[in-house]
Parts: sequence; C-alpha cells; structure tokens
Amino acid sequence: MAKPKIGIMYLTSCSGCQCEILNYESALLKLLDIAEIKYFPIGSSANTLDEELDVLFVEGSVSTELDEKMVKKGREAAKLLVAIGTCASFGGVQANNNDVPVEELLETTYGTIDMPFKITKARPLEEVVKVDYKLSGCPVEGKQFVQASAFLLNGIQPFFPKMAVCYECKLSETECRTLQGLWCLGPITNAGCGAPCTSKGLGCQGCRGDHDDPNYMEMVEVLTERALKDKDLINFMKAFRGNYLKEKLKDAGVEL
Amino acid sequence: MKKSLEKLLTISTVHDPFKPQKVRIADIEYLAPDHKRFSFVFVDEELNETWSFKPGQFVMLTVPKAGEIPISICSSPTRKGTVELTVRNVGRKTNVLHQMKCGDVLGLRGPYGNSFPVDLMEGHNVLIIAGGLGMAPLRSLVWYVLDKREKYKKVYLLYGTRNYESVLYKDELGRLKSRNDIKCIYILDKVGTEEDKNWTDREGLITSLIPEVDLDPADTYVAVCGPPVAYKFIGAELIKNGYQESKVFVSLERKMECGVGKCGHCQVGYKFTCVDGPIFPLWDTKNLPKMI
Amino acid sequence: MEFQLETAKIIPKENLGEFLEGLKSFGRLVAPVKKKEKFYFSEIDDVSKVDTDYIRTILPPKKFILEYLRERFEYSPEKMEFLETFKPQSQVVFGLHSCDLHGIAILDAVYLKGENPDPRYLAARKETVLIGISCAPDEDCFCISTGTAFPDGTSWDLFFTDIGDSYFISIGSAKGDEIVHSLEQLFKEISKRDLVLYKKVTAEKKYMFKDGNIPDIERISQVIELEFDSEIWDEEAKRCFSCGTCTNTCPTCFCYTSVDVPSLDGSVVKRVEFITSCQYPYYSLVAGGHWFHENLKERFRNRYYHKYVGYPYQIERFGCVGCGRCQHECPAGIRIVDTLKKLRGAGDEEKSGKATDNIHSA
Repeated sequence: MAKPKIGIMYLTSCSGCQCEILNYESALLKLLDIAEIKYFPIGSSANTLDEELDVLFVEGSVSTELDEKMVKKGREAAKLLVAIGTCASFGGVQANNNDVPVEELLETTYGTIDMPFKITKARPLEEVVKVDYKLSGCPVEGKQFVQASAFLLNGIQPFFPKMAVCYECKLSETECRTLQGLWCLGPITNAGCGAPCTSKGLGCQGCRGDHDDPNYMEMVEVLTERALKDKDLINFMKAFRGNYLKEKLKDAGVEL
Repeated sequence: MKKSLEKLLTISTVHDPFKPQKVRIADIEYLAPDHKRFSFVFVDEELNETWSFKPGQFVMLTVPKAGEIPISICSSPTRKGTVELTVRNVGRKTNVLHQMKCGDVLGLRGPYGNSFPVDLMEGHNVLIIAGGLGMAPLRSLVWYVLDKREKYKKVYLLYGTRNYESVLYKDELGRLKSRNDIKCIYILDKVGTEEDKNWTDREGLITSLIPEVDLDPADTYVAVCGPPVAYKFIGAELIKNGYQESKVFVSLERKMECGVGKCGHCQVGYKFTCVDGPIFPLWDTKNLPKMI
Repeated sequence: MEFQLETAKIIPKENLGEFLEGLKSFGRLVAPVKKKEKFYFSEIDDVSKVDTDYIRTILPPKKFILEYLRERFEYSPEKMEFLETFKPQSQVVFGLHSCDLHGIAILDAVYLKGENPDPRYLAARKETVLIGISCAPDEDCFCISTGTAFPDGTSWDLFFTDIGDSYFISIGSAKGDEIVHSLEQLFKEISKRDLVLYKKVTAEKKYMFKDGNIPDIERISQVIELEFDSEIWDEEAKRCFSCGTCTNTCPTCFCYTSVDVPSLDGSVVKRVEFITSCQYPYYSLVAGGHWFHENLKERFRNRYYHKYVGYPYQIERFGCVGCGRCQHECPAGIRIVDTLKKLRGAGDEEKSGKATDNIHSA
C-alpha cells in the first residue's frame, strides 16, 4: 500500500510549532517511516503541493496576500487540513490589534504603509478555507500533534475532549494559582498542554483558547478581585484570544 | 464490619466484563441513508450457540482503532446464530464501522442492561411503539413475541418515521402486515412521493395512532423506543388512553461507555442507564429528573 | 501457645521511622509529603520526608489504586485479541485520613459490588495495604456530618490514633496483624492509660469542628430532590468555571472516559481510560450532538445530585466523605457546605426557634 502523503505548511507565524514538531525527533522518525512528507519547507528542500496530500498541517495566521494564496492552494491539494497552533486556530498574538486599521499598524511599526506585498489583518485559517481539525496551543503540543497524526493516518477522527487546564493542573498536583492570587486563565482555557505554565509557578496565559463552556463573567470577576482591571485585564485576556475576546465578553454579558 | 471488606476483596472475577470477544461481520444490509444492519457471528463457534440475551439489551461493539460503541441488539434471541445490530452513521466511531466489510473482525462484549419484561408480558396484550431508529431494539421484541406467539394475547406494532426513505427493515415490516397474528400500523410524518404512499397507512404523528388501538389498556404491556423528544408526547397520549404507567416501558439512549456501571457517563437521575436500564417504566421517566 | 485476639497495639512516636522503613518489605511505600504549602501522596524513598501532620492532600490517594490515566487493553486491529497490560504492584499507603479511607471503601463498592466487578481494580486493591492516621479538621473539613470522621472498619488494615507521645494502633485486618507481628519489637501492649487517652481524643474530635463550617445534611437526599428546580442552583452555578477541580480532587468520584488510541502505523491500539468530570460538557454528549446535561446549571447540579441522591441509591451511602477538597481547591471559591445550607434552608429567617410548635404532641 502506498504511504500516505503529508505536508506541513507555515503562514505568518514564528515557526514555533514547526520547531516543536522537529524537536519531537523520536515521533518524527516514526512518522517518516510510515508517511511521505511531501511539503515541509522548514525541514526539507524538496517540496511540492502539486500532488494530492492526505493531511496538510498549517501553522500561522492568514495575514498577507501570499498567505491566502498558499493556504488556498494547500486546501485544494489536501484531503484533510489541520490547523496547528494558536495563530492558525484563532489568529494568535498578531490578531490582538485587529480593531486597529492595518495601515495604522504598518505606519507605527515600519514608518510607511508601502509594503512589497499586500498585508491584511491576521485571520485564523477557518476564515479563509475549510478547516477539518484545530490543534491549538502556542506552540502546538508535540504529543498531541503525534496523536492527531496517528488518528488521522488511521482514518479516525481525532478525539481530544475539551476540558479546562485545571484538569491537568490538578492532576499534576499544583497549587491553584488563582487561589494563590495570581492571574490565571486556566479555568476558561482548553487543556491538552499538560499545564506546564502553572506547574512552573505562572498563571495560565490562555494560549490554547476556550474550552467547551468558558465562564467569562466569573473569570473577569476573579481577575478583578486580584486587582487586574480595565485595559490591563483586556490585554491580559486577549493576548492569545485575540480581538475576538471583545465579542466573547459581550456575549457573556460582561460590562467593562 | 471487618468482614465486608474481605468479602469484597475475595470475590473472584472469572470473566473480565471489559474484555470483548472476537466477532466477524457475516452480512451487511443497507437499510436507509446512513443506516446499516450488521450481522455478526462469534469467531469462537461455541459462543454462537451459548451466547444469549433478551430483547432490549445492548452490547458494546469495538470498532478496530476507533473504540467502543453501545448498540442495541436488533435480532431476536429466539433466532440464534447471529447477533444483529442496526447502526446509524452518526459519529467518529460509527463512521469507521460503516466503512467495514463482510469478513472483517471486530470485538463485542455483553449483553448488558435490563430487557423488555417479556416474562411479565406473557398472557397479556403487547403494544409496540417505535419511532425512527427506535425500531431497532423493538425489532428484537417483535420477533421474540412472534416466535413465542402462543404466550401472548393480541400484538400491535405502531411504527412512525419521517419519510419512506428512512423506514428501516422495509421488506420485513411490509411482510408483517400480511400476517394475521400481529396488527401493524405504519405512519409517515409527511407523505410526499409515490413511494411514501405505497408504504404508509397514515400521515401524521405516531401519537395519533394510539387512540385507535383496540386493546384493553389494563391488560396491555407497552414497549416504546424512539427519539428522546417523542417520549413525552407518547407517554402522555398513552396515559390519556388509559394505559398504566407501570406497564409502559421505554428504552432510553445515553452515553454508555463501559456498560457495567463503572464509568458514570450514562447516569440519569440516580440511576445508571447501563445497569438499571436502558428499559425504564414510564413511572421512572416521569419521576427521575431529566430522564426524558 | 495461647490464642489471643488482638485488636490494638501501641507504638511510641520515636519508632515511627523504623516502622515506615519496615513497611517497605510489604511493597512500595506511599505517604503524604509536603511540597511548598501543599501536601500530596507520593512514593517514599526517604522515610524522614513523610509528613504525618497534614490536613489534606491536593489529590486523594485513589490515584494509587485507580490511576487517573490508565490502560485497559492493548490490541492489534488485525487479530482483535485484547491483552491486559496492567501489572498490579504491592504497595502500602500510609497516612490516610478517615475520610480518604471511606473514600476508598466507596470506590470498592462502586467497582466491586454487583454483577460485573472490575478485575483490574480488584487486582490493584488486593495488592494495597491501607494504614490510616487520625487528624484534626480545618475550616473546610466536614466529615463529622457525613459520618466519616472515624474509620468504620471496612476498608483499612491499620489505623493510627495520635494519643500524644504514642500512636494507638487499631488492627483492622489479617494483613494489618501480619505487619504488626513482623515488626513486633516496635510495639507495646496497650495500658489502661492508653485506652483512656484513646477514648478521650476520639471523643474530642467532634468538638473540633466549627458549627459554621458544617453543612446541614439531614434528609439531604430528599431535600435535593424536592429542590431540583430551585433557583439556588442557578445562583451557585453562575460562578462555576466547569473546570472539574471539584470532581478531580474528590476521593469518591470515579467517572472515566475510554478512548482507543492507535499507534502511528496502526499496528497496535491502546484502550486508554482517563478520569473525567461530569462538569465537562463533552461528558454527556452523544454522537449526533445531543447533550444530556445541556447547560452549566445542570452539570453543576448533577454533582450534588449524584453525591447525595445517586450514591445512596447505588451503594447505600453518600458519595461525599466531607474531606473538603472540592471547596478548598475551587478556583471560584464555591463551597459545597454553603450550597447545601442554602438548599437546606438554613439561614432563612424562619430557622430560629421551633419550626412548628407542639409537633409531637398533637
């Protein structure tokens, strides 16, 4: 039987997800044993999108004209398209300022709006193409990437139930950072990361996005009690949730 | 007091209730869009003779690589040799099952749960009410009752579906209509095409058939299975027509994962669907919160 | 030799280290240790790390019997033969409080009673020796009202009661007796003074709870059923994060999800079970998209309902042992004690005085 073909593409991002995959050497070697990697610009010199791919993983947000062209081409080539990482899933850190016109951002950053290619606001993949699965996280969790690959290459839809980061945090017997008085987004954030931040003494920064039923109202209340208010509160909460946070807060009936 | 612990810890577990037996797909029948009936035989031939169950019970079927799914048995224990399951392609596991072929090997364990009270029903009328995929577990009861026909008084089958296309076991149920030891009335929500007209007796909701069933409610056991939303209406209509709560039994769907009361997913009220059900008297559905 | 039934012994506190060292010959030693401000049960190498003076651990000791992530079977999709990969390990869990012993007794009932006992749980449980220790409650403990403040003899091998300079050791099983005898030199016979002390300290425990921290659970099963539609559920659930901390730290919660995980090449599949929580929406989601607990309130209520109505039906006792972990660890600060009180109507104005005059004289 022919080996399944896979691709790993990146758009506007830091390439951190791909590094995570490259660093997961033992699994990567196993993956190479059973699948052909046809497209992986960061890890290989021979790349093509002209053959049909069984699975295409895409990192990064759609933030330029080129991104849009690439992801559309990738979508055409791939039977399954999987968004990996927070940028591809929800726009990522770069979606933070989506309510500011792009020109203004360019002016501030580069002192000019004259760019060699067209720049748009940062969008998650699903605003541009159909996405079959999303594996969020900054970066994507290597273990989850391998498990998702295993499911998909075996023709099974991946199963990653959405539970709060508190699940893994408690399982690692970490003292509750919220109760300690820290700012922690764990209670509204999707687990799967293994709660590395909280176990190292930080509060969760929320990089993996929402779990199934995030209680924004209470989260805002709890953070406010810990002296995080107004603009600082928004900035903390939206670091990874991007500009979509405002809508979410509105839906949850939070008045700020 | 000390003894009770020792008693629990010295029980012997001869069989592992979690361990599936190997089964092979002997036959697959397309029933309706996204609905197939799979016939299984045990690879261990002796089991084909000894494995028994009662109408209304379910099994846990292991779809290789995908996992376990709880499925009601749709064949009758009076017809040994195969175990038949009707499965709708609706999730990540059933999707894989629907791609499988005759001869493929799967895992199966069970049977689990209680059953329709076929013994209590003896000597009484039996009214069977099925909606949509609810026909599957009731098909088991229909054939059980028909194969032991002399033990039961009058038998009625009411079956409602959305349209002709989604009718299950078309030929079989069509043939039942010509038998004189069971009265069948079939109904479609909406009659549109010619096909619809050929099949159905009536157009409308299944509840509309209940008043015209000519059975003595006091002498009748009722078995109901259908989509969750239907129970409230069917139950109310049955009560209105004089049927007794304690003699009406409904089959409930929940998220069974272990089948043996250990995983908790199928809790309903204070009961576990997998061990206390899936067949509950109507009284329970009215008095256990959030049951229907 | 004269046969004598032994039910108790005395061990001077200075012998504890040697005793713990001696336990290692019965399996790996598990006991509470301190990590920053918190305690947790851990496998012990150096017995001086064992902390007998703790209030509660983050996770209950069930993690050593019913692992939070475990493998049920391994199979090849070609052969479909299911192989058990679990090998039970002999272990001695030392330092369990009464609530946690009751918690394990409840899990025993869930997993071992009925027609289909779980062979893996049984195997793990048979290899486990449980040694309890007395404790002093803090403001989150309420075992006194759940009837679990003292071990009742159904789930433990030895129980240590602190009587000052020594521990009074109750022997609960043949295994416990065997352990005591194998380390005979560390123990003393009970003196009359020891017995007086034992009776005194055990009687004192009930006065160590502050009334305000104790929930009203008289007839709570019935009350929860009657208050099923109460707005109290909405009020309390509003603050809930659905984070599952309450159930994941609960010594009696047993729900798990089972998932088949194929290897990359598909040659081997592992059937993995992980502890889950009824507080997660996916828990009640069936294929086809129907949620049986459709919203936050229902999930929130389900926990109380199962603890106080479900368990009594299923195993004839509450599913709550009053350890206080759920309210101690809840990031939103929801207190089970307060919810129960609200449901029970305590704090209502009518509460003071007699509810009805002459209720028994009519």
